[in-house]
Amino acid sequence: MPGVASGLTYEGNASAATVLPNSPGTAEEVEAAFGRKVPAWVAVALVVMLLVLVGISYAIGRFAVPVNELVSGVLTHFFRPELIDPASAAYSVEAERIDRVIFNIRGPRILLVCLVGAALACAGASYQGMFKNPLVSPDILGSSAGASMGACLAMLLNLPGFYIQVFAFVGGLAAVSLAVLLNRLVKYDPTLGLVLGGILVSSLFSSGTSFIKLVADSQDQLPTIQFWLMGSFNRVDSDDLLLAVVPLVVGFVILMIMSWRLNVLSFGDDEARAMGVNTRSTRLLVIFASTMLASVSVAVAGIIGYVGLVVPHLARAIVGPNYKVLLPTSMFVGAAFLLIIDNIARVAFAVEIPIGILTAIVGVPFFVVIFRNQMRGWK
Amino acid sequence: MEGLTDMAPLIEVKDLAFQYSAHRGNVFQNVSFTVEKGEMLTLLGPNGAGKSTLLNCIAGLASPTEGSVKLNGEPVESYSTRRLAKHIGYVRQHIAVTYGYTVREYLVMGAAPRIGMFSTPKEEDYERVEEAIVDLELQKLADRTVSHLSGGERQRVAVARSIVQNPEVILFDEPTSALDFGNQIRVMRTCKQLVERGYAVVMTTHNPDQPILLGGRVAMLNADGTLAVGDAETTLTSERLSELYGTELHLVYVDEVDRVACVSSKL
Repeated sequence: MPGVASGLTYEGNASAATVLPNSPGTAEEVEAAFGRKVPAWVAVALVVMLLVLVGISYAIGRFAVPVNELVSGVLTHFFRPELIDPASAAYSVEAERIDRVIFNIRGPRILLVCLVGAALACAGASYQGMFKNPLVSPDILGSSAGASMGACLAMLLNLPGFYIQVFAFVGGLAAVSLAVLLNRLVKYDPTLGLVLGGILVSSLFSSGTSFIKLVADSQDQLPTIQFWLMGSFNRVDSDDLLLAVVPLVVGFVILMIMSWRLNVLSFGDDEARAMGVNTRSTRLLVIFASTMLASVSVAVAGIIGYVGLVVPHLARAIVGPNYKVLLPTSMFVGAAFLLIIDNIARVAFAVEIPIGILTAIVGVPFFVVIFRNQMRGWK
Repeated sequence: MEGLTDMAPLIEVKDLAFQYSAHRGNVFQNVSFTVEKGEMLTLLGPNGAGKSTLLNCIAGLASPTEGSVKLNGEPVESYSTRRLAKHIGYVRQHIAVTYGYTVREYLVMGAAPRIGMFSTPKEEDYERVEEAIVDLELQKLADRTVSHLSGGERQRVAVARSIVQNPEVILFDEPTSALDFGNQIRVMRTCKQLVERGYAVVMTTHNPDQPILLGGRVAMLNADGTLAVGDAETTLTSERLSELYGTELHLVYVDEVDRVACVSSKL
């Protein structure tokens, strides 16, 4: 095999350094905008930002726990459990109240918001790479529509919370599998075929949801379904957390260890194959993991749009497109973003607003700004 | 078996035919030729003759309707995507870049065939990228964003990516068609230098002057879908080229540059 030995020579390399007349900035500006080396302070800043947000989330709203009480409450929980044990002589009603807020009420909610935000962002970023399309979101293959219909069906049957999650997950997987199957049957361009399959399946499952709403009891079930579809973390508890955490972590791990391949995949099917990547198996794995993340998110909190679309762009603006660093960054930014939105949903008005409504209100202008800046970088 | 593999040509295309759909007929048929190790082969033909399709068949990206393509004596279908990419590098006409990857980040993707499904590039892959950057004199471009490069720069970056891939043969699909004159010459010089360094190069073009410049062998893909193969000097004649392109063309010796050139008659 030929080695890399003597240099190939070029004449007229002067053109190499000149910037294209149409490009908006100098090479340095572009480089700065897409700063390749992710400085350690970015990683630290992301972690600190999330921790601060968690602290704020505890400190505001009903049953507020200020930072000092939060710290002492956590210490009490682990080092002085007798204070919160009603059987103990040292039992304090106040300490137990704080403990319950930290670990049973606010804690699971904050953790789930972070996990779902990270999941939607991670799935969105992966899909944007796989479909080499920056306008793609995690529900492109119908996972949200499928998961919604599954969950609504469980609510129609008056099944308890656990089954709503299971039905949602099965519905999401079923929808995406159907989209993949349609793509196989049609034998069209593999990427475009998937998207078309996703659109068809989405509308199919959406009509299924409409039908469920039609037959649901309009006094009792319909409002529940309606509110749930708008998305909310209002009723999550530690059971939801336990149920969601395993599939979410599995999804995260699969996507993280495949992250570098997503770079190659983002150059399109033929190019990726010419570079020696088995696009079919890679794509299926990415679809599986992303569907898992998206469906579980829907199962936990209903339909939350725009996080999967907007956050990866924000992350890309911070660390560039390399999926090795983009995925973890997206997860942190997604968690922080959804936590902010959830806090607004909780405290902005007397009644809690469904988070899906807020993500759309915040997401749309946000998206316009980011997209405008990013497009300058790409083209 | 080992001996047989050694004897086999690098690429053997036999009785190849391709059609997109039955009612549109064959794009080409009865196409047979070989590519030896370290050889330069130019695939010449007018627009729409099926040159890119033929390259896609060799690269395993398209399945021929009839006939076979063998790589080192084995059918290309029997190669996995990953194994095939260790032997065949493919520089396509356009690199479609959706995101703002830098040249370095793009180049290291050439190492993909050596990197497992759940793995990332190693130190030696990054070293190879640096070697390829020096090799193709891409130092000034290395930290630029690929989507901001001009057509000629992108071609050179794509060539560097194939070198990182380290295949036996590099396929070029119309590498010069979107380039200005200077960049066309530079890309052809690169092709020639790749051959000098032991790579086999298969390049498609619709410019009859290019196989003359490059030397080596030429395969002329006619509009009726058949192929004529041979050394550039003997295969290319004024009559054949005129017929191929349906316009009057002449091969004339030009003193100043000491070579034959293909020129058209007055308009």
